[in-house]
Amino acid sequence: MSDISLIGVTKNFGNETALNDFSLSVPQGQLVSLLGPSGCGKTTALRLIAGFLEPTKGEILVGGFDVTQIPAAKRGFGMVFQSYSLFPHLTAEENIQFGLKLKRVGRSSVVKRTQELLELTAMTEHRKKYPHQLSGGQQQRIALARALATEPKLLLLDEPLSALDAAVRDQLRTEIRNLQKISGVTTIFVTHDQQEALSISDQVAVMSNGRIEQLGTPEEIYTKPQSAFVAEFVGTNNRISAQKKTGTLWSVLNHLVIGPKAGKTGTAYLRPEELSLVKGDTFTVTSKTYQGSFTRVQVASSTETLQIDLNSNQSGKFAIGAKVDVKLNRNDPLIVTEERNSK
Amino acid sequence: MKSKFVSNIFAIFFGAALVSYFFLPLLAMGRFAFQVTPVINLTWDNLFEGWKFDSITRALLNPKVLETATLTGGLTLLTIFITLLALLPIATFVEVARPGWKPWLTAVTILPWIIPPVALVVGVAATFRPFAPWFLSNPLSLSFFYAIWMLPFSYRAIAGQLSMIGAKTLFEASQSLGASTLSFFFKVLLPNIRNSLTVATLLIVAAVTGEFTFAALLLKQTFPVYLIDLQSEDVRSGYALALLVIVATAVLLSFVTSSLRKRGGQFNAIGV
Amino acid sequence: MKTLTRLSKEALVALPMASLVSVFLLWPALTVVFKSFVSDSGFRLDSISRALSGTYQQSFLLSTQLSMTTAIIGGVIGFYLAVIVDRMKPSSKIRSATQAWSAVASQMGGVPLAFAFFAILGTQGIATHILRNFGIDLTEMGLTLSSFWGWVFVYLYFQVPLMFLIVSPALSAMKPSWKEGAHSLGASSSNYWLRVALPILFPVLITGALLLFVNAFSAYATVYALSSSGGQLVPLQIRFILQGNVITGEEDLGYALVTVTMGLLALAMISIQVLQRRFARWLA
Repeated sequence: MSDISLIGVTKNFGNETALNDFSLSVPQGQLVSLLGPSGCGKTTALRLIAGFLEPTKGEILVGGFDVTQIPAAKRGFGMVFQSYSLFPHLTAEENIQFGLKLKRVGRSSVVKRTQELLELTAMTEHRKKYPHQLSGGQQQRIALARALATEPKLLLLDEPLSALDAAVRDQLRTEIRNLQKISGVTTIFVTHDQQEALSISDQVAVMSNGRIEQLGTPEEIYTKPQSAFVAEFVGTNNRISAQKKTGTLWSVLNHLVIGPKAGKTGTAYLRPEELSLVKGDTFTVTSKTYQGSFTRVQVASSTETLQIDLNSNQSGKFAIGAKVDVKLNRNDPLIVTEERNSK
Repeated sequence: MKSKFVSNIFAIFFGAALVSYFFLPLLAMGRFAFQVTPVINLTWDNLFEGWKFDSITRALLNPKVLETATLTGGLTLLTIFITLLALLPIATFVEVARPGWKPWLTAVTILPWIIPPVALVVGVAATFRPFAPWFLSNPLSLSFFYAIWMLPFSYRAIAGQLSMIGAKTLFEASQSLGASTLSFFFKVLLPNIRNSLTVATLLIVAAVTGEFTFAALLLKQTFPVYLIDLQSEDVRSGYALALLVIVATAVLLSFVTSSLRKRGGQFNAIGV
Repeated sequence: MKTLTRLSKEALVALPMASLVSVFLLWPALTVVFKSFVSDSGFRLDSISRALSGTYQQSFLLSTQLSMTTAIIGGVIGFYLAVIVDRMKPSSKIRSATQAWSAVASQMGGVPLAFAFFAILGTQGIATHILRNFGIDLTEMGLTLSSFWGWVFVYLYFQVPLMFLIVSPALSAMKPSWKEGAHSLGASSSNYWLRVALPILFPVLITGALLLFVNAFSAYATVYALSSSGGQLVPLQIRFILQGNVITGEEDLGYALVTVTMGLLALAMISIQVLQRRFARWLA
């Protein structure tokens, strides 16, 4: 179990820069997600940590120890891949034992540890099956068990759920998080699915173009995005025009909010649940989509269209065609000015 | 549907024609080998007379047959060994670490189809004669030519399966578990390419037991070369033996491929 | 320093293959090509021009004709066989038997093959004998094993299975959804074949035909064993000249014949590579 730091890591592939001066510190025992669209460098970062790639510049430290020059096989990290990586010629059980046997762990310890992991992943009854006899979700559970078998310093997960069905994905991500908490292993989780990242991480690093756009807890990332990219990548947004009044005061939909000092006009980002409706005359309700516990109401004016999430009970008050005003539930939304990208 | 019926009938006739084409000659060989009556004297009446199977026993007891068969057997094994030694490291390496090299490697393995055996023999002879004349005079040197000659087939079979099993991910997974490259090779890679290794081996067996060109050019008495000589001494023995080899090879191949299939593997002999 | 050990490891991995191929493939080929252009009297093109004229030109024509004929006929038959077999269930015994037999038959050639056909269609062949009883004299009809069409008939024995083995994987890679999609749009079976399947399979078919061509062109043992008149084909011409290797004094001609052969076959293989690339895109 160790903490991990990447310091000023740059990785170039020929003329392309996949990672640009990337720095990240992950405290021991935490699960940090690298979240971003394809091509943002998250997988490159993971593979650098694993040792499958060498950085062009920078260092990678594990537990304070510089591992940059150490080959992948000696780094002692567990890894779960996106495309199934179980050894086809071995049973589930034998797959799990692979790392242990390489380390020449004693027979009884091997058996004990394997049993432990099979129970933790609820795969005991499938122990003698071969990978092709297991479903995708089952295979990934075994892959996880295999990665954890040798009690690695670090657990690396490269989009392990992307190839699975939605239902399996939801369940499996909770299991991964539970296992991670039980074993306390420092974990790095790469994904492009923001729901995944938000639901299981201690911290999320949102990445774009080889850099970290923002690092924070899931809550911080969601409620306090620091740039348009982060705001747009995570969750739904309404983009509303904003005008500067004076100093740090801005006007959004006739509400006064706090915004950046610089700039005169900009775009404010507000989530559907950060807006509410009252009877009025500036907007008209154009559609309502029932989502169970809440209803997404769409309202339109001559200049904008907004999505607002209302408690389904409340939404009854507003029928389609009703005239409404939109109110803000917060006074410090992200405002992106024309010139700069920060708050 | 009428057209489906017609096409099915056509397919059946087609299949029957093909089966006759491929197996009647073999039957004829058998008849020739085991029926003493010369063809000219055959009538519908004496069709079932004069059948003797001594030709095959004579052939098998012929010491020259044993001698040349041993040579061919040895050549087969040596060819297999050379092929695997040459192909496995580079094919694995390219699949796992340098996919960009694949087109080049494929191109190289296609060259044997472009270069006639005569050219190879002449070229190699010209090279080796001044330095190491003993090399080409040893009949086992044929195995190098055979390895080259079978390269297109062996490479395709092995490379095909390497890419099918996702060798790269398996390598990285084994690395993450602490395996050295050698460990990976013997504990993970080889067990998972058993099918293609078997196919490549079988193709080599089938090819070497019938190969004539290289052996004749280098004046080596391998089993197929001897078959021609045997045929001029004792026609029926020669034919009997040739037939035996064909049948044995076919049986071996079908037995192995059906057991490969049972193990759940895919069989792809050429996959060009 | 690290890169040095890595480089030497890479070299080690490539070494067996590299040495095998250099010594037994590249060097001999280059030597022969070189010698067809350069002799004791310096650079010359006349060997090549001799190789392309007169009787040798006839040889190339004959070899090419034989190879093309067997490639096309073998290609069509092999393709149709593959189509029929592909329709069967993967577990079908006929299917696996065909695959196993094709692997054997495609490698068969030379001596055993010649024997087999002598036994049935040779002058002492049983079919010849039976047909004679019915008043059909094959020799009179010119359909002997020493004739062009006799050779074609024999060559098909390994050409058809070879085509089958080449085309089968491509056929199994064809998605049934394509066929179903075509039918749902109103295409009849022949329409499907004409408009959908054949265009997609075209590169593989041409690849197969080209490979059959290459295979037939280089075939030496079969014709050698079949007949004396086979001596007109290119491989045997080459062998005749380079046999014994010194006495004829005409080695340059032999080398030139080899060079021309290689040029022809290289052309065929390059066409295949170009087609492969197109093919990979569609069936990936």
